[in-house]
Amino acid sequence: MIGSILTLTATSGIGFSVARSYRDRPKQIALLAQGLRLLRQEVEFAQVPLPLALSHVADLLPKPVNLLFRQMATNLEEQKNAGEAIDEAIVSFEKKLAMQKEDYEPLRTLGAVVATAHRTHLARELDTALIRLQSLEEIAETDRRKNEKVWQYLGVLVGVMIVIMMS
Amino acid sequence: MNAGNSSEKVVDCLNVLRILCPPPLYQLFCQIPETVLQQLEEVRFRQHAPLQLCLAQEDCFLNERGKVVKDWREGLVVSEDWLQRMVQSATQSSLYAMEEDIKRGFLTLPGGHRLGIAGRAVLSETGSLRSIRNITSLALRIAKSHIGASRVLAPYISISKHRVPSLLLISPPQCGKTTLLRDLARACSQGEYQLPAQKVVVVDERSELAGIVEGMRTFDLGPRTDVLDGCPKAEGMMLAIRSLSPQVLVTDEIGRMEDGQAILEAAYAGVTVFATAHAASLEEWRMRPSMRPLFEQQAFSRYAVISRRRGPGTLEAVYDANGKTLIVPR
Repeated sequence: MIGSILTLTATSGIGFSVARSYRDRPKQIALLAQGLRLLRQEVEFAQVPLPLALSHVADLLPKPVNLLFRQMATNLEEQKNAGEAIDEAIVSFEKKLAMQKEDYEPLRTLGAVVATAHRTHLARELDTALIRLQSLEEIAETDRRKNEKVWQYLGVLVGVMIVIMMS
Repeated sequence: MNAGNSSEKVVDCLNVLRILCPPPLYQLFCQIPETVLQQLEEVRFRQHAPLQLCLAQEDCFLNERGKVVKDWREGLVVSEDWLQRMVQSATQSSLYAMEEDIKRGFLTLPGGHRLGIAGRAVLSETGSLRSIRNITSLALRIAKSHIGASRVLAPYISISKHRVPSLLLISPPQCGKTTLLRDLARACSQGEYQLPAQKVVVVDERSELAGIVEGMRTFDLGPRTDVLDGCPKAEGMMLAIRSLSPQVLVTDEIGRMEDGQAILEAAYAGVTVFATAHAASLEEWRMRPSMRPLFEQQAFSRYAVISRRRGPGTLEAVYDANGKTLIVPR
């Protein structure tokens, strides 16, 4: 009886965990895009230096995506160059967030140009990144609709099947 | 010129190099003897060229073991990667936020140190300079505070108990004008050297005179001094006259037509002006079209010509408002 409960709990947990990552991914991409829109405002209107601009964005975003921006700002303050600061922040957060490798690509591309771009150029790069994030969000949303419920049920059903087979 | 605290200067100098340079390069600077660092006035970083150190009396090069050498062939060659990293450090990876500074050809680093920039000019549709890209040279000028430097000028301007005459410091670049001007502002604000204590407003367009970093002054400008930081000279002077009731206005490196007009406004408003200008002599300066009206209308009562013949800040000559020589120091 205890074994059955443990099995059912474990498989359901796995199912819900995978379902949650499908559910969180589009939300986090949307938050990343919101962060870049805020960064665009800082660049265009306030002309605040990048470390401070990223800190301001981190202050305005909810968890956990704000932590990514905070880490980028910290890395820049430690005198890493912009590309390194963004790459290292992504590496330290990609396992903690639901976004997939390709979702960070617009941010990485931005990291390669942000330090040397002039205001108008950087605004264009931010717009391009936002368009790419929008399409990634749509893909993530389609995946969520297809897979979220499936994984929730699958976890429970596999657990039930194992319990039936064991009994 | 009296030197300030030598060890403080060395610390300040290394501090700006730490901010600017990649760690391996900074480590080489740390190996330079203190006596050399105390004399360091400029560091020139040129892409694929040896790293040049300009000292008070000579120039030399830094080699790859951190030794100071005379022969440029032994100098450490600055790589493109290092130079780009330095640009990123100086701009905080935010070229977009520094566009106006870059357009003027320099950035001001924490501590009031000036970083000159050379590279490919980007022009606007009207042909004016819009920016500089592909930066290939950086010239770091170490700002230094010399408390007491302006004592040498005091006898020529302490002529009244209530007011000091307007003074223009004239010299070619790197002769110590800004250092003298900074100390003159401080002395006037404190009422030192028998000068009457005055309300001083410093219009610090390039953040070099006060060296303001995050609201804090790096250099002592005295207790009666207000600073308009980062403000264009001409606009700043007009703003100060309107709103800050200065007795003395201080500004660095005048040269444009609008600077001249603002100084005339100040002169006719009864405000004393201390300023600096680039020229080797009074004659050279007054031939400049934008400056000629200032001389003709006697906006300045004193002109002091500075050189580095016996080190930065050597007073060569003092003239009155008509250009008559008051003194030719030896």
